[in-house]
Amino acid sequence: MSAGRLPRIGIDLGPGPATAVLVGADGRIVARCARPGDPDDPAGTVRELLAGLRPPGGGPLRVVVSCPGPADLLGDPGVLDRVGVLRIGAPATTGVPPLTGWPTDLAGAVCGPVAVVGGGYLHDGSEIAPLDIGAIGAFARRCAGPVAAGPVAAVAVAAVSGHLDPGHEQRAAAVLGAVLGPDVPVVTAHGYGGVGLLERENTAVLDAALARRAGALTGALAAAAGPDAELFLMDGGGHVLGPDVAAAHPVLMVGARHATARAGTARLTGSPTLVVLDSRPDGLRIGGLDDGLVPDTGTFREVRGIRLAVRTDRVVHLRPDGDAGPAVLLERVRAGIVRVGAALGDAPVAVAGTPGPVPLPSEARRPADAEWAAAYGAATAEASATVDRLFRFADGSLAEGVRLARRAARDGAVRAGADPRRVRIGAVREMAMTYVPMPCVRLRVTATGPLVDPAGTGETW
Amino acid sequence: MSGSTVTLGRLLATGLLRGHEVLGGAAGLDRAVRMVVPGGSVHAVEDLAPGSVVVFGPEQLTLDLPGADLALRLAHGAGLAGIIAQRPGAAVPLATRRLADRLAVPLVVLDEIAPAAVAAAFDPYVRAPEIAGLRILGTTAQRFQVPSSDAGRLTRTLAQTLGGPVALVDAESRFVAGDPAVRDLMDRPEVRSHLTAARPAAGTFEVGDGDAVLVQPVQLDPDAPANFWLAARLQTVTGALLEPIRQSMAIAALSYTAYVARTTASLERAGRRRSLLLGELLDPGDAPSSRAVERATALGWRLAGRHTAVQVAVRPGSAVLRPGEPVADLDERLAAHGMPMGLVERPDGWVLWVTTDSSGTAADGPGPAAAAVRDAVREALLSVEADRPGLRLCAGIGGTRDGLAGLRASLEEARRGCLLAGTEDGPATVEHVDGVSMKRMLVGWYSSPALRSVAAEVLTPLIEADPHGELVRTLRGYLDRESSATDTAAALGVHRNTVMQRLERIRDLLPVDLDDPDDRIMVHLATRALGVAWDEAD
Amino acid sequence: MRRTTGNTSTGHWRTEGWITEEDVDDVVGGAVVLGSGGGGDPYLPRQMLRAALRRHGPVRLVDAADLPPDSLVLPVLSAGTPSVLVEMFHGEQESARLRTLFETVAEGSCSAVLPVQLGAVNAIAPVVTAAQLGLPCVDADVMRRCLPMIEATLLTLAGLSASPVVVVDSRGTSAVLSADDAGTVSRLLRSAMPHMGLVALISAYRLTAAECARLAPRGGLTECVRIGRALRSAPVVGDPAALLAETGGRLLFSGVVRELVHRTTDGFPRGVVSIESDPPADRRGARMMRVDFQNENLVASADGVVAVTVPDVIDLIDRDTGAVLQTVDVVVGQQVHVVALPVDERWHRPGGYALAGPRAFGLDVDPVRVGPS
Repeated sequence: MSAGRLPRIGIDLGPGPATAVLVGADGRIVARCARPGDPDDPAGTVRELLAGLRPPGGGPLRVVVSCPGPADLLGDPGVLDRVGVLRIGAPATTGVPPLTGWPTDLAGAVCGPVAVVGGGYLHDGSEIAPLDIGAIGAFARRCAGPVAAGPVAAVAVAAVSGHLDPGHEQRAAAVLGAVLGPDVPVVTAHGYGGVGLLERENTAVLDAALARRAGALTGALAAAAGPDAELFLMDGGGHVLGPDVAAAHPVLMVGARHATARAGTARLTGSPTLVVLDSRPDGLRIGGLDDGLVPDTGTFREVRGIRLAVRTDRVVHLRPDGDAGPAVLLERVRAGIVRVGAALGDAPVAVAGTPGPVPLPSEARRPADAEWAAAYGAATAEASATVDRLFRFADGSLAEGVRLARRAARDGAVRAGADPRRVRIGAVREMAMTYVPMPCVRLRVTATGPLVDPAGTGETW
Repeated sequence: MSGSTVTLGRLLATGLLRGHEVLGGAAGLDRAVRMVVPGGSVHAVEDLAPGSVVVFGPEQLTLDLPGADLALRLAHGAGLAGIIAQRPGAAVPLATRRLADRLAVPLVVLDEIAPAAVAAAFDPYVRAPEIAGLRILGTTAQRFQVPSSDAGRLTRTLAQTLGGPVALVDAESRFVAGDPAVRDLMDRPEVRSHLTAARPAAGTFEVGDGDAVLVQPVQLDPDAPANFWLAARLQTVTGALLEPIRQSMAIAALSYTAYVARTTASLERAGRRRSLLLGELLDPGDAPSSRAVERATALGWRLAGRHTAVQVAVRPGSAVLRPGEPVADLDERLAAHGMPMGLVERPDGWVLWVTTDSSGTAADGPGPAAAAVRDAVREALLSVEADRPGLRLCAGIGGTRDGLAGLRASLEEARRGCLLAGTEDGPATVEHVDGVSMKRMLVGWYSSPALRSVAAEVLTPLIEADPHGELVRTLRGYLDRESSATDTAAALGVHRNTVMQRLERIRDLLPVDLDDPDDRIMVHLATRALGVAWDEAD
Repeated sequence: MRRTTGNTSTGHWRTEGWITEEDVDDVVGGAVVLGSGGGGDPYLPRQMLRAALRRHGPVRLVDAADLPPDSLVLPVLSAGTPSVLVEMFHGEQESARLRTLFETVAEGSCSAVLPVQLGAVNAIAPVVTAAQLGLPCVDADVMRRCLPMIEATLLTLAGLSASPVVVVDSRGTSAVLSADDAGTVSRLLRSAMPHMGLVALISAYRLTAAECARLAPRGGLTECVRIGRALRSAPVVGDPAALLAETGGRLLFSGVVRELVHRTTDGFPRGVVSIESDPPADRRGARMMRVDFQNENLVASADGVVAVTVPDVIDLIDRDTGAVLQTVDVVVGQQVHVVALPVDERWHRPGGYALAGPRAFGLDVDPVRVGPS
């Protein structure tokens, strides 16, 4: 858990009071600071908390913020910008156009130009059709205007089998960038892993529609943290996100606050596998960790009926209920513990956060600094990457696929900021597949590691 | 090894199923097994007798299919003692493993399985250990009807019969034949103390992995220590089988005893005839009868030609079980060194001679032939001594002489050389004596009664003060080594101060003055002459 | 869905109604249940149906008896691999090409589309095709559940051949496969699929409307809607009571998934899900259910006692979300109900067992039907 010598400040912006801790090189909490939370001004809150904690004399430090991302606000279509949506895959996939199944208000908010153009890949890597550069150029010009509404805020690009070969997405993005210029972000979908075209496309569209807000948030947080600080945000798996990644893919921040509280509680109690009762003023969230990772539920997260390329997290959320007395609520908490703990064996139960409206069972352990668990989880967060995709092999070797999967996961974790020398690669799981008449295997593996300190911060090797 | 009940756990411990894995139902491994049978089909399981272990091939049962659960249930219902089946390509589902646990029906997997072979291998141990034992006994009795002609064949045959490695070791646990790894088990303390116990008896010792080592003495004389031990390492499948195995080993031991005894007896008979013949040939009175010459020729003894005689003796006090024991070994080694005649027993040792054709060469003397014989004899003696710690041999070589008369003379010189060699320290001492050597003069002197009585007289005070002869040995060693106390101490393996202290005492006790050259030479000769009779004796 | 049923002048049980956008969640939800753990995840089929209905309007459901008796029906199936389909789903053009080719080969004119099997993808693909072709869809099918072989139909039991099989993909590739025996057709189809990107729309069985009325059990799509509604009406998430009441099914087991064993033989995902009963007070006391599957769930047995087998439907329901699971997507730690539902009586005859009993899938157990609860 020791992560170099850089002073680390973890910040949890709520719900509930905003908390922050300063963690020393030995992983212990050195200083604590709390403020009433202000959802409308996260940067201001961060600035105040840092003023209370920043080590005297300044110098470089790391600031990791766990906060509500714009994707948490999808109840309000106003948060979404108008975007262009480009799918590469015609003549296949035209039976289900982009944004099918989106709630009308959200679809209306995001819906700029939409096109399904020729291109994409078959399961064996060959092209469905040549990439239709002409159609992409026409689409780009529609995105640029001169529609009365002006240019779109961003463009989402998703290609059939783009996760196996990002080539068509990248070429399309290059064309779009050339036409639209640097101020219009182009979000490609191939980085989300092998799930399904609609899931990746939906995620890219949401990310694009939230990109402006997400960029504003990360920009404001970076300004608040100051030039000496290395800033990270948190993702829904309880691991760090670089500000650039968070700005381009704010969907990854969904569920971050509870995952961060769980990670912090795991480190406070020393139990990497546990059930955490995350108690906040708005209710109680019960979630688990399995050897430090959010357990796989096998299902994808759906936000208002839009399925995304991120996994759901088995979380039981109990809110205060006017009709239910404390005894009834406590019974529900115990049922939730059983439900979450079912996948985790006889995992210990620990409390994070401050006492809220939902009563806590007496058998749950409350570690010291439980009320700082989320901030501590941010301060000590690690970088991670998960690979979940099909591996084909010419010679049919499973071992080769496993090797590739492990390497891809490790590379991903290192790209996310992990120290290459301390990356831990989890077990490689072989996933079942429906009938595929070729030598291939679907593998899933996660690599995790402590963040590497930036150059020049006193490491001596 | 407690009890005679066969369980699946014990069967698996035999190692007959290489690479097996118990996937579930381990709690049932100690249930009694009555039989091991190949399984025809899953449904046939319920018709099997209680206590059966059923063995399925991949055709009859695939452990990752629901049939496996059915088989477990049926096996449980029928009171079976376990299921052995082939490991499936995929993992055996948890539900199946748990069901085996729940029902306590052992579920054992193998990578490759041939049900009939597994059943055939196990079933005899199980269904009727006594019958399996009788089978082993019968085989043993049949195979050992004719006594084994050598130790290698004995151990091979017994190993095949018992189904485990076997070794033959001698009385000191030295490896003779068979599997050296089994020999190494003799070094285990409990085995060693059993082998060195006063009365040899069969024994059984656990040596781990469910294995036992069985030892069986081979005795020519039931009241004497064992001459050899047979040892076998076996799986303790069942106590019921150990007894037949023990009896099989006893049969094998008996068979080998018969062989050893017969060989010894015939050797002794032949030896006695040869000694008588030699006595007749050497009788200086008459010319040997034509019949004697004929018999000598038949034995391959050469009487014409130039002879070089060799006499070998065991030094008194050597560790030998029987006086004639080293002869066979010596014969073998001497033959290997170009002296194939075979030793002939004489009152004070054994003799043989080598003969070359008379070709009018130079006069009698220690020619190259004699030197070569001396080296060869010494090597032969050394190699026999090396095999038998505690055994000390000495030999004399006579001069090379012509004809029967020359043989008689050479034999006499060899006898005296042997006597002389017995006076010297060190391993495998060999002395060569012929007509012109100084030693011949000394030998005559040593054997003269006058000198012997003088020697006895001079040294009597030392012998009386120290019947063990340490003082005489110390004195002789000191005089042999030019009065160097340091060299003497080294030769005797004692501290120099001990030598100095003994010399003080010797000077006090001796009636002569060691500093007087005449007295000194007298005493030196006396110690050497006395050595013939006294050396190493206690 | 407006649906009127009743005894008309002809004495037939008739279906008249429409599938509209409002019915999407229910018809797909019910089809997942009949998928018996296979048949594809429901998300994509929902979008397929929604997009088709939005673009082409509601699809009329008809009774085959109301169609011109000598006209052909167009059986429709999406053949291929669900995990590839979610990546490269159908385009808009396949339907028309499929119909043209089928009518040419079958020498007739199609008056309606006929679903072949009821699983999430394949209950929906015919409705989508009907919408795209502007044809009505017969409210009937010839499997009454989801099975992985095109020949495992009630039509085969009635002696019809699956040939000719017509296959088209989104890129314009097409094939007509014909053979005397169903096994050869299946093998040909399987060898053709890689050349079509593992995703194709197919049609099989030459069938007139009159034969369809005689042989295909009615009401498959409306049953999907009813089951979907029952599921949605559950007062507590994951409670299967309403589903069981609607279908005459039975709750077999409730527990936690403890292990998944997968193995792939001849391309089909096979495996075993091991489920431990709750509450696991102590290890010895816990019961274990295993569900053997090959695409679909085939056999459910508790502690070595077979509870239900194919051809009846076996489903795993996630107790957290109420979702009816695709067995290949199940994960360790998931809390599930195992339920079983009866299928058409014709499957429970010797011919049905030969075609779709456990032994047809290489599982040497006797067929066991859903008993009374």
